[in-house]
Amino acid sequence: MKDMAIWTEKLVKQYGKLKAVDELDLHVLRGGIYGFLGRNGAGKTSTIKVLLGLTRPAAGEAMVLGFHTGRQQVAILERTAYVSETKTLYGALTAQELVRFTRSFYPNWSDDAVPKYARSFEIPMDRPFAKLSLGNRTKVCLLLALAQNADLLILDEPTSGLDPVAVDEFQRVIVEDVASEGRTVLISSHQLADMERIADWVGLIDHGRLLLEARLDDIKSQFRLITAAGAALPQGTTADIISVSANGDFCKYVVRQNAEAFAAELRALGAMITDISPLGLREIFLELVRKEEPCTSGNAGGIPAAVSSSF
Amino acid sequence: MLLHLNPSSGVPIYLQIENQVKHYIAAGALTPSDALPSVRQVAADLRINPNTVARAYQNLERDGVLQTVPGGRTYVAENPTGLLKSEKIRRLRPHARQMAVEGTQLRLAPREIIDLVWQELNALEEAHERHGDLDRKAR
Amino acid sequence: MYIWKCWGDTRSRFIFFLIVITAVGVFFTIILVPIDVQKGSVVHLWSDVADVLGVFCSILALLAALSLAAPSIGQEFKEQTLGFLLTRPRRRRYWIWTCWAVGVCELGVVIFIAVVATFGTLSFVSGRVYTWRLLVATLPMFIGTVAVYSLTYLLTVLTRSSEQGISYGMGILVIDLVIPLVGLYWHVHLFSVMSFIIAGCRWAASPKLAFPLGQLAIYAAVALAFPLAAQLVLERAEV
Repeated sequence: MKDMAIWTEKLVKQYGKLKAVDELDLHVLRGGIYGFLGRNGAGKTSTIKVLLGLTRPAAGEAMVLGFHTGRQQVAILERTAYVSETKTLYGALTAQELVRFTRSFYPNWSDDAVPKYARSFEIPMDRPFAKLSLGNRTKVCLLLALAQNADLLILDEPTSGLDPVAVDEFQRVIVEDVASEGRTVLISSHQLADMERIADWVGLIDHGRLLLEARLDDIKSQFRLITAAGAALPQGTTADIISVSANGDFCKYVVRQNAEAFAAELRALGAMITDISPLGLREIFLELVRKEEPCTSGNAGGIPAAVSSSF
Repeated sequence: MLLHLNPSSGVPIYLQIENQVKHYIAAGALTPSDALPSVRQVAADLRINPNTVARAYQNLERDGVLQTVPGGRTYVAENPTGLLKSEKIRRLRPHARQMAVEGTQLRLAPREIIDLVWQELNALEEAHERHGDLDRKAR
Repeated sequence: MYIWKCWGDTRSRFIFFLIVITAVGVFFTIILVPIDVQKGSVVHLWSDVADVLGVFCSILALLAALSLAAPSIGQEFKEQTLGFLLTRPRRRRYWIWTCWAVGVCELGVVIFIAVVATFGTLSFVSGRVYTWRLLVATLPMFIGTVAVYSLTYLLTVLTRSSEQGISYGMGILVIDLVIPLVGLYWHVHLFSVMSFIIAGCRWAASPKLAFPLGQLAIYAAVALAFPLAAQLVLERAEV
């Protein structure tokens, strides 16, 4: 637990009857880049708000950098940099004034980083924040977060409004200045292709539940999508089979490992395997997050079990 | 060292790096005791996770393709594979099997499949010679 | 740096009220001098000036209290900058009390300068100086205004909006100004910030009047209770 940058256990956040976060067990190791993925309203921002002490959970525990959220929140905030989904800062202040305001809170603030990133991101430093475009506002928020020299960066949609050149620069900075320093980054994003480049780990959340938490390398090298046709195909999820769904007469299995062995089992049951293919983030996202339909054999479709790699 | 990566493909990025480094060495673009850029440099240039690059370097080192000196720099190993012949054969066999299976599925004759391998080997040798020429001209 | 920001948000209002209230005090003093000198009563002059302060300047000071309380945490809710502010490494009560304290200091400076300028003008004209009584007499004006300021401050936090906070504060202020009139009609002495402030100002002019010490303590307690309540509200707030 101590080597976790972020750790939650059965975290619950409710808004009235709606469970935005539903018994979430999140594990973010120190020193990596964690891609926090999910649809709109899946619970990503709610989880982040709990971690930052903006809201209180209904149940469960969360620890950030070894400190408890809630009662040790200031210690967490001293070491965490945050870019929120809505990039709102004080409209009347210029970027330079915002820097002046923000740096006073952080002893580790890097004064050299400010002109460096202002230059590389091409940020207009003397215009009032309210007059900046969305892209420029995002860049200012990123600048403030990066200059903080924090142990942990929590970035919610950090590339919104950024043109491809700025996105490229963002990735370079994250990879060169942050990940190489052993700091931890949690990025909540829709941009699966970008995540696929830089993430170590991926956590996929839907309806407040973690559907999948795995190393990206494992997903690429061991996860497979098996499409099979036949009667009496297995319906349930197991440790290795994380998703079962129907597609016309075919059953699609997302298998976490030992794909060949499972395919052999299916063949032994008389099924015809039409495809065994690797999964990119986009495929895995769509497979796990779509609505479940019952398979043709008549049983209820399998609901993805929460899958985590062991620690 | 120009690497071209496809993050969306089914092949993990570390594996893509390993394959391309091996290719460069086989083609002579990288020769023994050439220094490789640092993990951090590669990660920053390609905009990919440094852990991924580190893993690729580590794997290549484990395979005897690269070696890292105590100072931290990584070089192409002097004796690129200090592996036993049996180990080398064992490593190559799955690729050979893959070729055999695919070729047969495509209804190619065994002769044609083998000719294909010969062509690739020749191309590599030519590339090796070209790089050798460039090196000699550069000096 | 948050102090700097709170100051920046309220600076123009502060300067405005500083100038206006001081000008009103001095202006009316200068008008009253020839009138009362004619009557030949210096005592009357002092109590008239005290009433000027207690009525005109106080109303303006109370308006200043409303105005200075508005650009506070309530505004952060509206501008959606609270998510940024509360993720800086400070306890939530820091934001409440720091912002509050800046306004209190501003009110203190405005009132102090206005009173000193007014009675200073009077002293200069009449040749009589009642220094220590002046400073003490400033207290009820200060505490009374701070009480109203604190109330408005709490209202902006509760309503999460500076506009609504000011509106409710204004409503309460109007009721408070009406209360003494109602009290007069029914011959009942009712609590009112205005009467408290006037009593304080009159004490500067007339040694025989009682200093409203009891009310001072109550209004001081109230002035501190409201931001404390605001702190509790913010600590429980979900962003």
